[in-house]
Amino acid sequence: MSAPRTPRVETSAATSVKTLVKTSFVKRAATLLLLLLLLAPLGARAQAPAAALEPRKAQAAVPAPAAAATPSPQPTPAEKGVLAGRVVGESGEPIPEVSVTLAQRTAGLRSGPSPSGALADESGGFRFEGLDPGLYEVFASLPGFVNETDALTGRTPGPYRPGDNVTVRLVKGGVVTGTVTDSQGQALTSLNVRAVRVRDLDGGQPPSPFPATGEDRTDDRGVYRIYGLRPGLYVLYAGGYTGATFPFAPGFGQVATFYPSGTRDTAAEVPVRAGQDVGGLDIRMRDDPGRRVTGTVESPTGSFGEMGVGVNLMYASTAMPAGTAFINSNNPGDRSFSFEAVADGEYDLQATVNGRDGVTLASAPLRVSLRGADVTGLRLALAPLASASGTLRIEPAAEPGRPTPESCKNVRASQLPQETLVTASPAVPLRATPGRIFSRTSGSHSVTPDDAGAFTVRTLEAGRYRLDVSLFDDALYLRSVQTPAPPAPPQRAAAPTAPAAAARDLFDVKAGQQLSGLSVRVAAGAASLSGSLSAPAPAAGAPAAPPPSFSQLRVHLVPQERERAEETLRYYEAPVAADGTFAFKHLAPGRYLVVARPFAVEAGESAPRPAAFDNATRALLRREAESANTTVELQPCQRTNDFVLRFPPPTK
Amino acid sequence: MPKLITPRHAARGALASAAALLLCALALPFPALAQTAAAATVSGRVTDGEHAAQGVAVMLVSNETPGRFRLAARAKTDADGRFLFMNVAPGRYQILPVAPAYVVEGLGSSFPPGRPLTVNAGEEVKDIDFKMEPGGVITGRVTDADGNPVVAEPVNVTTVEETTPGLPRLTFDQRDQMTDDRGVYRLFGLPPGNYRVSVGRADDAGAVSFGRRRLFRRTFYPDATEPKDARVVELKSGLEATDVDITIGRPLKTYKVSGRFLTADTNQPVPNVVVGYSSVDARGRPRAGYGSGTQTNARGEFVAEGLAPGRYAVFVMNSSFQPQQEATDFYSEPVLFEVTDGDVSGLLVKLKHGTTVSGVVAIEGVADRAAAAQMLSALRIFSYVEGGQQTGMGGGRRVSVNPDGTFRVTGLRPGKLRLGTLNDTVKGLATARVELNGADVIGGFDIAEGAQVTGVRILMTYGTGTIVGQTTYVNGTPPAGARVMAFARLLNPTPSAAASRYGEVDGRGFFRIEGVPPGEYEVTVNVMVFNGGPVRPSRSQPQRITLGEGGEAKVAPVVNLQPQPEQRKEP
Repeated sequence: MSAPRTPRVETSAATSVKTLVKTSFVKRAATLLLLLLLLAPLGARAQAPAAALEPRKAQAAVPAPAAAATPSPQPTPAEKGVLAGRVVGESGEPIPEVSVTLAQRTAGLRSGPSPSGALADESGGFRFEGLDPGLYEVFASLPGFVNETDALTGRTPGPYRPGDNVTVRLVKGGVVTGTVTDSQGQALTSLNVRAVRVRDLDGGQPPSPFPATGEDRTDDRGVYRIYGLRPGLYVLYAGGYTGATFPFAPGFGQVATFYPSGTRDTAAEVPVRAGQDVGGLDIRMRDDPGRRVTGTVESPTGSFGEMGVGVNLMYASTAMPAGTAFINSNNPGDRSFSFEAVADGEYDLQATVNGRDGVTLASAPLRVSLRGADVTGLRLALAPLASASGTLRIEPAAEPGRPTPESCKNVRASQLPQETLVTASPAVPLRATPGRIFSRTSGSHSVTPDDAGAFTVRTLEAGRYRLDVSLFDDALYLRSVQTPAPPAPPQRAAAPTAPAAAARDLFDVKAGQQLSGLSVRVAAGAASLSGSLSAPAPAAGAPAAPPPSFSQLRVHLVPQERERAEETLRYYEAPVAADGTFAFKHLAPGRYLVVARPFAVEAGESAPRPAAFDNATRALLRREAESANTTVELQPCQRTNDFVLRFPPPTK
Repeated sequence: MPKLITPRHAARGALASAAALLLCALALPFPALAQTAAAATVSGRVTDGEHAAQGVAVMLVSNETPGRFRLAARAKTDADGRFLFMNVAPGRYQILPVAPAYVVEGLGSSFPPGRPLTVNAGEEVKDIDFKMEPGGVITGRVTDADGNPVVAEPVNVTTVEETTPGLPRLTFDQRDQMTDDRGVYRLFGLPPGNYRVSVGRADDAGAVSFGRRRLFRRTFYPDATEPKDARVVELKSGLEATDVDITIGRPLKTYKVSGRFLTADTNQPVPNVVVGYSSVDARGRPRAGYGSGTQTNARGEFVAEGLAPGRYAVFVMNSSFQPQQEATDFYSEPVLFEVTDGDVSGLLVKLKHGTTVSGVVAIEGVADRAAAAQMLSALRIFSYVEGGQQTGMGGGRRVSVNPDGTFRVTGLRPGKLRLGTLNDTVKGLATARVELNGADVIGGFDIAEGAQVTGVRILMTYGTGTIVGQTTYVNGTPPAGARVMAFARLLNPTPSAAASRYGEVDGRGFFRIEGVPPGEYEVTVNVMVFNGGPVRPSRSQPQRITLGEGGEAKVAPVVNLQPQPEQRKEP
């Protein structure tokens, strides 16, 4: 049963401004403003802290970031519906009077309530009350500062559940500064310069097609200064107002020139650390007049949405946005788009229509090659995107009809499906799939179920997906995922109790399909396991081996029983911190083999893909685990700490 | 030979190299080829009065349909300050040098930016000259009472002579006026003058802390809260005033406001409507600027945070800028309240059902029904209830028109309603008449509270004719800053002032009015000067022309710029 609903009070009209209009403008300016307002949701989305948008990679065993915030596992009744915490600086000192924003994770992009705002008090404290059960992101905003991200995951902490105690840590953002000149060395004024975060500092792939950005305009000396940047590797470019609808901006019609003086593919990547001031990043504009890219958008279903159509130009090599053109959905006489001054190179072009639940229509991404000439007459056809829906149930620790295991007698688990996160992840990296391109629609496949457990993941392009479930209560684990039509069943007449191949956890959606019948079972009684890797002492007299780089490893749990070899959900993996520690939560009780091994991140992915979902990797992993032969047995609700895993495993 | 970038639409055609020609021609739409035959050139020079200005970007922006702009070409001035556009298609343009650090003579803050230019087929347009001077710079640092930088705070300058804030140059981006992470600001491109520099909000009005922004009391350089105590910055042409540092006090304490929205007749709570609010001016009227935030909850309650001391109004948001599906048919009177030194609670906003007005739009001169339906779908209806600052309070909204021409406007407050059409895309389409049950109501009609008004008919005309003109001035030339417009007023078949078409006259006296329906017209050219307020226009003798379907008529109006006591008033 769900908890009684607490009536929700929108805590601030002021801080969630949708509209800010001055009616004193002349009519045309007002029209322009209207356009800006229509665009505002897009812009706001692009600027929101990236973590709010990314589907959290839900590897059930990865410690949920929420755990770091010392959640009280069972909020006392008085605390129901309250999220309180503090805003602190780098060394933990309170930061007063900072604006704090609370945004609920919901089943769609926009269908939830508007974000609420509060102002931290003199000691940095803040408090949101009257919250429904659910998952919430909390951000603090102070110009020049950024919310600290977790060293291991690169993401801001959260989401949080009502009752959690939240600590938001603000660190000074990085600064990049330099001068923009034309090809003759003359300073350029009022030219837009943008810094786009393309990777983590350690070179990991970008997690999102909506990268973090910072912007400034050059002054009369050509100087720009962009501040408040999240740590990371950045590319910088000037110019490139490719899709703007009001062509009077000073840089309009100037081809985007990347620092120091190149294209996206020759751009230098600049490392920016927290609080660091990187100077001398001078950009010399290229004289390339660029090409035009024009075309029209069609919709075989006749629908162009109510918010208009966005046409997104992306650099093909990195999926980084190169420009957006906007088509007013109210104007059937003109469905054309135009990008000016686009540099030669490879691009992907995709039209998307945003609805209240995210992108509802999208064209297949179209590869565009610019080679010294305009490309005109392109046609993008909008097609409805698919969705997949189902139900998430939370079950007791005991099997039906069995008593609660003794080890779980004192553990109470959340019964709130709306405090879980369901994510549809492409079963194969999008970029590795022939005919498929990493696209604009890939950013929003995470949803929270409603209080009855019903969920719908929208914005799916045709393809094969797996369902990841993120849990935030330590007592829960993922018991099973059932899909209505398992693809490509490799029926090998196994025993009825033996699970089918890994493919049973995957599902296919066809273009525009509204797939239903997914069934997710989550159970109480989860175990946890934490510990550290230990390097063997070098043998006496042997030269000391270089210390292993633990952070390039992941620890895997492999179900010990051979008959469970195909049960992908019984495989768990966790990253290893630089000091060799690791932690698993949300584990199904059982016997496991434990093994550490290096991992690789594929191109186009933000994190290593779970090894168990690839048949060859799973088999290899099993062989390695059996060879190492380190085992652990976990009873329901058991907390095992200080587990020591030898790496490399001792040879027999 | 000056460096140039040819207009793209024209460059597709003739002058490109053989290879490029082949490549381009394959992708060409036919109209572009047709334009090439009649392509013109446009040239001019940019100077600082004496010397050439080299390397200045000059933009030629096409303005074919009102409200729609497209970059037609971009050129850079050569060592002699000259620029040249070749292969320019005939049409209406705005031309401007883009030099934000300079003050360009005669451009000011006109909208659309730049100088109008009408280019005729095959013409060689010369001497489009611009004079500009380096703008002045004011720079400094803003710190708070503890000496910490004040980050991302907009810095305002006002001239001592005028109280109107805002920079007398093209400013599309407030970032140019913001302090950076060190509290440093740098305002450039300023004309010479005496300036007051300030940050923060004027304290005669309420202010709402929009999300992440802290609010500060308005403070002038160096630390004055009253304009009279401000130290005036004297800025000479092209010079830089440095160390204009401002010290501001603590952020204003802000407060919370809450209340309920109820129906006026039955006192029922109204959930899920958007809460609008605005600050209130000295005369107790809601200001034109407003914000809107969250919706009322299931019990009709709202809470707003971050309000600095001041006077405010709260009301149900009912505005033309809301997407149609979010619009409510309620309106309310603004409820005024004051925030002094504490939270305000218990505000009651009474909601009334607004008037609904429905009708149909008809287009004359378009026989093809599919074409008409497409034009109708591109239209929006604007509605405006007279009474001043009522935007967002049921004072009107924009709605789209169905392909069959029908439309429906809801949520209007009682008063005198004016209806019209908005059309940014279809050239040649204009409103001729607004009727209510047959009577002409283009000037507005009264609507009663909660009424259902049907039977509105909006008649539009569509045409493809063109009126081309060249104006001659006697007894002088239009002064700098004058706006010169040509009007074509329909005499036959149905005399209608509303069916007037107009076009901007460029600096050479040329104009081109396109999309004119067949008929008999009276064409006049008006020279309008704004000197603190509009000055009576000088007006040409009217010229009569008759235009056939898709035809072209030429006129040559003469404007006598000597003040004429006998001049008729402009209708």
